[in-house]
Amino acid sequence: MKKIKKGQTKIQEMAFVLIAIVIFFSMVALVYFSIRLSSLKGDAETQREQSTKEIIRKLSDIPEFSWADCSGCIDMDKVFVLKGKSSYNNFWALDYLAIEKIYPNRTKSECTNANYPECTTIILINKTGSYGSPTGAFVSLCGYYKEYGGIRCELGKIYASAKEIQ
Amino acid sequence: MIKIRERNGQEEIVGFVIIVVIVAVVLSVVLGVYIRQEAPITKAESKDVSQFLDSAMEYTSECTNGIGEYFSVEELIRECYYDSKCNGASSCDMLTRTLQEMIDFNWKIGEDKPFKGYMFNASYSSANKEEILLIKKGLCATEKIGAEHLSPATPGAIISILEICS
Repeated sequence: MKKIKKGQTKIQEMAFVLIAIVIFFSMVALVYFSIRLSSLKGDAETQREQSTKEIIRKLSDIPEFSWADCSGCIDMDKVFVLKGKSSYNNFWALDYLAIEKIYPNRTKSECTNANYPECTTIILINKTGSYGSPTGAFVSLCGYYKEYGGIRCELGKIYASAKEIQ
Repeated sequence: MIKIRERNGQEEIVGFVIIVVIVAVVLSVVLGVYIRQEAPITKAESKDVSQFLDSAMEYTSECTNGIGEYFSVEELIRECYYDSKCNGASSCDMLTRTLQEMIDFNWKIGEDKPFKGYMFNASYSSANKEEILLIKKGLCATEKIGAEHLSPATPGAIISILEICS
């Protein structure tokens, strides 16, 4: 009777040890997978951001913006003309759309009839409400500059934001 | 009898502690080796760098061709390959200055900044590969994001590579 009890105790002890080992290794696995998962989330976020930038840059190729001589180039004059067109108000399903000259460096100013082309930013859409911070993509901004005596392309960014692309 | 039981229990606890200590030591050794291992240099394609490079290639430089037409950076790389002059100076010097300014202005590079350095390399590739220009700044230790741009230059092509290191 005593022998059986002793054996039972032994089995019980072994079971406890096994449970402890299983718990220990599952905790290690849990830590490992949580680290892996967090890096995976980061990768997915980067991927999503890159495709958003790609979509935004594609805007530069639409006929309303495009400069004929190169892909990914925006005609600043076309964009400036569009700024005042009320028929284009709801053309893009976006909450924010702007084009900004970023290099060469200048003092930032929004383009108006009075200062164009000596300005940096053309804001086409700027709806109120929360739509997050706009995503920007590098583009070339081209135009005819009188003082330059010809066509000149500068470095710029196109910014867009919408609830759908957040 | 009770003493023998206690002794058995103590031995098992000691055994369990030894197992836990061995596993912990092995894990810490593995972790130590893993951390001490030098991280391999990883390079990832980046849409941001690719868009920047494509747009930078269209940027109109201060360099003229003698009849009042300004060269784009892409054309200036070609001029640098042919070792031609630009406004009385070397076209390669002008190219280096323009690219350095553009990269420094658009990518925050420095020891205490998100990007630690960059490398721009342009080479002519036909039957052989010839280096045209190499610009390096800062440190490129582990992670890089980069992109390349291909420009036709019959019979070969000019490959421009920009790598931003973090």
